[in-house]
Amino acid sequence: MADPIIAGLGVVALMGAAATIAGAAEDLESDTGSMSNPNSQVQLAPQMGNLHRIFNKAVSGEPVQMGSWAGIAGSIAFVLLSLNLPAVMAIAGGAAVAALVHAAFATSSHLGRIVSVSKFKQPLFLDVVTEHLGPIAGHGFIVTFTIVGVSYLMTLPIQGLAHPFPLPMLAVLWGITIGAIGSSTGDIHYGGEREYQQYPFGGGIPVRIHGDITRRAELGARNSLDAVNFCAKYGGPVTGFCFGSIVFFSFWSTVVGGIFGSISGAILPGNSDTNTALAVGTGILLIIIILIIIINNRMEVFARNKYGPYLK
Amino acid sequence: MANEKGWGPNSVDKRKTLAFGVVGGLAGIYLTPINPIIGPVLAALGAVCAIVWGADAISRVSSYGLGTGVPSIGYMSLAFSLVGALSGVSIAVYLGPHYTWLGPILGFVIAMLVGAIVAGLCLTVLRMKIPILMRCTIELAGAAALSVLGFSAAIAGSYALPNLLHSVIIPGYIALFFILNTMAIQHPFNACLGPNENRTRTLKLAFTTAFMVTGIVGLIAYPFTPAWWVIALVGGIGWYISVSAFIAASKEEAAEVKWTGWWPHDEEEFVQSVKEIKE
Repeated sequence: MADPIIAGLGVVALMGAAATIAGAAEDLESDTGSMSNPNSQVQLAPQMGNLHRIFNKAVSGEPVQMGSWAGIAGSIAFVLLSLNLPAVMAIAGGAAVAALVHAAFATSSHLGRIVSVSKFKQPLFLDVVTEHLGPIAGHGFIVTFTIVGVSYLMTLPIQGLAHPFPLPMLAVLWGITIGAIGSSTGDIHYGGEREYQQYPFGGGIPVRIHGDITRRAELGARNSLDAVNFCAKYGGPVTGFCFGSIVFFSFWSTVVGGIFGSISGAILPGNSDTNTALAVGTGILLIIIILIIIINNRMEVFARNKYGPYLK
Repeated sequence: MANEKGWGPNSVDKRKTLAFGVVGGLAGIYLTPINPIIGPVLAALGAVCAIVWGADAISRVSSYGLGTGVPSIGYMSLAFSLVGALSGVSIAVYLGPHYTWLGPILGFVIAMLVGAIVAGLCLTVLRMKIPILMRCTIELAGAAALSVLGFSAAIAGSYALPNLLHSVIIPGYIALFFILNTMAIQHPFNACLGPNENRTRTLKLAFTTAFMVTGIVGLIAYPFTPAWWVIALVGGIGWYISVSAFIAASKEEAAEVKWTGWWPHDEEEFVQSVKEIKE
């Protein structure tokens, strides 16, 4: 039998890896459908006379969307686990059902939004729907599989983990979290850079260019797959790194706190192991947060000094 | 305004959706105990009625330019109606075993009361200038409470608190209902908003999302009720019919449906430029 702390650290490393993949896939999935911030501009484009061939996946904000899909996958996995299926198969089954629901919602939102601007002669291109559904459902499958995987690992009876919440609830909570991270970290790389590529970067998006999105690609009309190809180089990985480090550090600190818990129990009889573990874990987490704030500040100061003051 | 074909944001009478949601939702929930197979199916169908009503209410309030606020108001209404619905069924337990039947109606009323308080705060403290905010938030709260109670009763086979605790709250499905019913209620209008929104088409999509949730509820009800496959089957059939109607309506109302190609004016420009090159 392995040392429980070592086993816990191993599981936490696996959770961090799964979360990194989930973050990257979530951002790329939202770019495929031009969700969240870029979406309002895609919606506005036909009204400003700019017809396009971009997928308009207005399902909702990313947190609600990913919470729903991860919740569906988690609940189905919960049912399949109660049938004594192996965990990997159960989670894959849940994620497969969630992917089907995802594809149905994506189709209805594109049809709905495009038809609602028919006044401006925006055609409904059916190949846009069929072309994008695969990448949308596929990326969604990866996200729900890894998110339910992280939630399942959290419920395992390991010191520092063993969460008392049931799997469907944890899946919903983590789904909402990944949606929020994907929306806040990843979107700038599509919304600010790629969607307004014909304008100089860094100038913001003034009201007069609203709706004038880049509609032509290197060859032919631009579609949302071009945006994914662009974002996969930086926006997706950076989102994955962000979410992966959040998951890794928050669980790493509680597992490491567990070491101090057992020590304090030995020194002071009657002292609760769990409370000490939680207190030390939270302390470590606070130090990590302060360090990250300092690193961010240093990085921004370095960038400003290196690339000069902003021009007026 | 409806156009000459009867398409438009006012193409559905709001009193009809209100009656459909309230009567259908409450009837479905109260008919749950009649039979272990038919009862849960009726409860799920009651929740479908409530979702369609909620989708209509959210469409009316969001037409005042809420934009990105459509999912937010859906989220908010589910949050306070979950509190209301569960308080209602809990109060029925305190009243005694003879008053279990009061649970759903109490939950429905408390949810709408909380909705009224929230809408009052939005109007007075936040000073939101949306004239129908009060009415629509109350309607949304009622619809959301009925949808949660309906799906919960479908899984538990009863609307009594001990059954709901065992089959819905302890397995964590209540969190799924919170987010999935938000999705089902807000998605129809969020997906169909725009200058050419047609409420009939929006509500066809509402049936689609509601039946899809019913199908999921059937699948996850497997460990708790023998009616699980009937609920899933009803959800699947209902989804197929409603999604076919929605796709047909979308194709009919679209400016143009094409398998592939360019957008209109560029096509002409393109043909022109090819001609010029040839000449």
